[in-house]
Amino acid sequence: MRERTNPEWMDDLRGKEQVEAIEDLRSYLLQGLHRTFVVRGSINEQDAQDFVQEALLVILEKKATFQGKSRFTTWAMKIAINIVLNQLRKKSWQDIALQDSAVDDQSLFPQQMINNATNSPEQQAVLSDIFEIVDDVVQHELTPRQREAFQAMLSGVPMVIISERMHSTLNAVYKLIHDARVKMRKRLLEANLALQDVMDLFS
Amino acid sequence: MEPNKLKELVRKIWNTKEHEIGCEDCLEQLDAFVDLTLAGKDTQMMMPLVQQHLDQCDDCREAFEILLEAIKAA
Repeated sequence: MRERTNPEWMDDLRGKEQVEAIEDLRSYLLQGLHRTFVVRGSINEQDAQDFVQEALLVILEKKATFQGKSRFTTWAMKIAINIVLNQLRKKSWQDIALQDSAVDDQSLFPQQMINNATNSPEQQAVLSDIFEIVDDVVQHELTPRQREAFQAMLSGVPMVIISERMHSTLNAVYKLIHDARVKMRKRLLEANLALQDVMDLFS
Repeated sequence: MEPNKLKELVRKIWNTKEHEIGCEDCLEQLDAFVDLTLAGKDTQMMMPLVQQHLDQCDDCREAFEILLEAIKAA
């Protein structure tokens, strides 16, 4: 691919060099998707070509919004990768309802799970205290939407799926989970647990 | 939940800041963050809110790692 500066990409993508520039960009994006998704078997070559085509349409439509804070090619690759990731995440979770991931009326963190996290009885004791508090916050201090988002996140549901199922945005869902963490951290600080000691032991 | 996830959750709660940016704000800046990373710059100092978000959000962390790998390969 011919090296271009950001202004050169902008010029070429709308001028008489457009066809060559688009083909260069297509080839560049395909290389990136091949290395990150195709070789791992997440998608096949045909999928990669389809995703690149979809990305090119978005890139050409949005290129006027490119602010030049990165290389144009990095910005374009970001768009292509987000399209693939969102598609893969949606496909993985398409038949799984959000409430299937939620845990109701029982501890989110069973003692056996805590015991499996460490062999040290001292650490197990501190972890038990930590998760008793976290569990109490989840059950009694979070709003229903904070609880729904936090439990889904805990179950490994991707943010894009949580936001879709909750009819919300990525930023809004992140805020719900962030607010939940703020409440948990506050309660842990109030309990004066030796949390830093635990974190040091984990690191 | 796997033991490592449990520890990860404790770390995330403990490292929570009063002000954090959301996923859309992080993704908006991710290309610039990746270029700085590849240039060996101090991203913690130059883009602390993005760094903080990546430490908290597994999905955006995954997008960052894949983008970094793709740019290195292409």
